[in-house]
Amino acid sequence: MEMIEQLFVMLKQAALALPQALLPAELYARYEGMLSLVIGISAILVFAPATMLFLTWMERKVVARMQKRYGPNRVGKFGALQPFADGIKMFMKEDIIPKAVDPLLHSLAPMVILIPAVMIFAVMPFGKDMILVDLNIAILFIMSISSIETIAILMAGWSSRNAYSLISSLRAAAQVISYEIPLGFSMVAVLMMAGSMSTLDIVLAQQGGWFVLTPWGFLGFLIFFLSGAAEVNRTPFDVPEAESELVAGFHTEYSGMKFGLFYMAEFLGAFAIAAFSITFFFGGWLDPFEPLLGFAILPSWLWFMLKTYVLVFVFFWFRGTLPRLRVDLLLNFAWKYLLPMALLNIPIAALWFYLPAGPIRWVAGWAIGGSLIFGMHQLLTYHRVKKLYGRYERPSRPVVTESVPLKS
Amino acid sequence: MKVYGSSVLKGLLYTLKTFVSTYVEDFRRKGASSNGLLRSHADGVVTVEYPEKLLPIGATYERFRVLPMLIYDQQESGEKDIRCTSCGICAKVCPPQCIWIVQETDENKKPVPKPEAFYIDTSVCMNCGLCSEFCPFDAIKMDHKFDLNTTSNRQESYLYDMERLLVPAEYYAELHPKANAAEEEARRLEAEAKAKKEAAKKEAAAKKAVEAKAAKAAASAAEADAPKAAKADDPERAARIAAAKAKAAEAKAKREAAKAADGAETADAAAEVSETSSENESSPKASDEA
Repeated sequence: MEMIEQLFVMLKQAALALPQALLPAELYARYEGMLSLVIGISAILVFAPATMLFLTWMERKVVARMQKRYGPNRVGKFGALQPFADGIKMFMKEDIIPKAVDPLLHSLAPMVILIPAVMIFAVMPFGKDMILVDLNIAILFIMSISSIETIAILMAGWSSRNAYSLISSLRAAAQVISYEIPLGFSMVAVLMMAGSMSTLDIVLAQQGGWFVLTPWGFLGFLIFFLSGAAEVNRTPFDVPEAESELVAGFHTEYSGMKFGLFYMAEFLGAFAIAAFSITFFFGGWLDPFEPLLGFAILPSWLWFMLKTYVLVFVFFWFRGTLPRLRVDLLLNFAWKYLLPMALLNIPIAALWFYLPAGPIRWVAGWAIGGSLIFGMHQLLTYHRVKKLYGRYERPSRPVVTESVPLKS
Repeated sequence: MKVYGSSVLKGLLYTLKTFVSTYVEDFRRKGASSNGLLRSHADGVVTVEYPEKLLPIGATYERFRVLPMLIYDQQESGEKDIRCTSCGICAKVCPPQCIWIVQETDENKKPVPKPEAFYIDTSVCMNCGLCSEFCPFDAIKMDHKFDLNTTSNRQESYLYDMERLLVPAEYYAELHPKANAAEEEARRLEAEAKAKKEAAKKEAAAKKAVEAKAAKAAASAAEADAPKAAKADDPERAARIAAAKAKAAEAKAKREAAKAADGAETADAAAEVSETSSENESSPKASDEA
């Protein structure tokens, strides 16, 4: 088990063995950190496209099953080679740059969108000792890097010189700016409890129990996950793409691999949101049964992947279930619902912090926190409930049984 | 208490149930010959992987329709009793006009209600099913046979002759159990009504015969003028008859008078009569010649 647990760490050590043997000890000592970073980055650069390939296949399969179809099943067993076929197609396709576009921005946008999507993997704790850099400001890093994607979308939409693309990118800007706020506030509670912005510390702080089991963690997870879905334009928040309204949105004018890069960024974003939800609220790579059994069932990186893919599945589940929100409803949801809820989450976390540890914290915390959350939910959605259900409960008109004489 | 967002959860649960149930159904189908089942919309994946798996004929919905077929009833003697009477209604009603019927004739070149040849150009047929809707004899019906691809001699294989169109009534009953039952019922009722009517007719005829006999017996004593009087109850007709009679009598008298006169005159009159008549007869010919 220890072997498997340390598999990737050992692989890295093995990769480092070559320069260690070749370089003089002094030089090696100076560059060891850099070399290990390079190895880690290469690993991520291999991992990210592979994840994207798998996610495209998985999404098509999951959504197909929800619609009682088989999904891809022609290429390879269960259509498993479909993403490779798609990849080959993407590379083979002509890269069309329309005459009217701004060529520099047009070509730059797919790269600009992909780079932050991959960069975010740097602070992702894949397993025990499996984090590229243990940044002490990881949360800030995530926040700032993930919002760069908006610039890329704006670049793509503006440079395409296409009305649909422009509308799409403006929508994307409005959406991402709105959802960044609840996203950030939902992470505040986590860093309050963990006492650190480092993703590694946050994972380790959950050894006593996953944050999602607490009221503030539960609410925080929901807000984080939903805002994250909006942040990476997943359904039901895929207003910028909105293929039924805006053709394809900001990537209408793209073809070939540039189009593929947009897709890769989207899938990597979804994966990253799922992975960070795991990290912040579901104990990251921690084995939930280890404290009970005393030994690990699965290696930590497998636990991480397992949990992440459950949440990725939820993304696909959303896609298979929910229709797209209208733009105004989307922004209302961010500003009038998620933001107040995220603000409420902070005092609930504080309350939890000051309650004495033990069963009393769980009972009192959940009683107070839960009722606060539910009350707030009802308060925030009261007008909508009234609007939705009110007309069905309106008393019916009195039925006129006698004939009414006409007025002359 | 209404909780906003609870219907979202309901929807999510529904899709999750679908997702899981398709896999459960896949597992269940593995044991059974999944090939033979129509995948219902209620459970499991509805896709039929067509080239690899083929739905057997008749496994689809009853009103599924591909190409018409001609129905014959197998006689006990082994003869095929084709229901078609070659009335041509189907050929007339066919929107793309793809039906061609040749009526059978007996040795005297007299047409008999049987088709001698029946062609359907399936490359033209649009599977609308109007022929089967309009057929008064339930002779042409829509088939379920959808796997029609052919690799050899496409031009000719598209033209279906009677040999390829004919199917036994049992085959039709198997494909369209509901429709067939309804038609059988209708036919049975019709036959019953017909039998009843015939019986009533016979009874009425018998009664009439009896009555007529009695009347004859009664009338034998009566005068012979009675029917004439009875006939004359239509005044207009009687008047017309009287006028005709008077005219005839006048003509007869004239002729007799002419006969009584000299022969030349008679010959003249006769020639006149024959001339006018021949003129009348040959007038179209004459005008033609002119």
